[in-house]
Amino acid sequence: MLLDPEELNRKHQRWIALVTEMHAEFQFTRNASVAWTNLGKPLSESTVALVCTAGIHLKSQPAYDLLNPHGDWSFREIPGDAPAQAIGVSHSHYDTEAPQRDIDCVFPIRTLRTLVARGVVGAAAKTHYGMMGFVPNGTPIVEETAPEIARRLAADGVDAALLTPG
Amino acid sequence: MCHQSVGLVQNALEAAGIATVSVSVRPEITAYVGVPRAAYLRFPTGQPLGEVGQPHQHEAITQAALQLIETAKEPGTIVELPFRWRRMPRVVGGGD
Repeated sequence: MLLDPEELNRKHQRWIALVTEMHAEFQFTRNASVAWTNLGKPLSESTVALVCTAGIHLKSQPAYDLLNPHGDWSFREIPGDAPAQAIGVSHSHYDTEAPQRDIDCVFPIRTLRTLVARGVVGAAAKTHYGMMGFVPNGTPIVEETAPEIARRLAADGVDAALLTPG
Repeated sequence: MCHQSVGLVQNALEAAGIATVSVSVRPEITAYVGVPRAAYLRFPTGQPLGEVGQPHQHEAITQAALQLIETAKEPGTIVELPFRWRRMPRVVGGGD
């Protein structure tokens, strides 16, 4: 079902009011134009990667910087075969209780493996990516983080990606 | 803000030749940032793919979102998925 533009507009106005009250330095960052790529083959023959901004990382990796008021736009590599128990969550701007108990609530790594086993998806990428999405000014994501993740996924032969927030 | 970050990374991937879809529980942010395709769920933040210990729910939602990559026809497509919060039977286990 497509969304009601009036409902979207009401939600958007509420969001702007809330964010500008909470984060004086917040700069709304949007894409200059929306890109488009056709998959070009069935999902069942495609390699799919996950990118999650919910603050996920391997527990063996450094956590994200939750104290910097400008956020943390670094990323973490998550091996496609990482066990769910090896993945932790560091994020201060939403309630992480659910993903701490079940990482697939935000980062469907086991779910993707199930879809591969069922033949819905061709293969899981050898590496997925985690980020911590609290970055009030998105410019460093546009200029640094996003192109680097895109370059790595393309080099790995990834055809499609599912992105999830916190 | 997670949604803003998702949208910015998503567009870069799409521009690099990777077909993408994002999951959103804040469609107003997703629409503002501008993404190729998104699946909207009326779910709380922290659980965009569903509830704790619901692998079948996560699977159904993930599959439905991924299928948008095959079915969406134009940039900026945001589709609400027909899942409702706390309506799925609970199951035990299903993890690694």
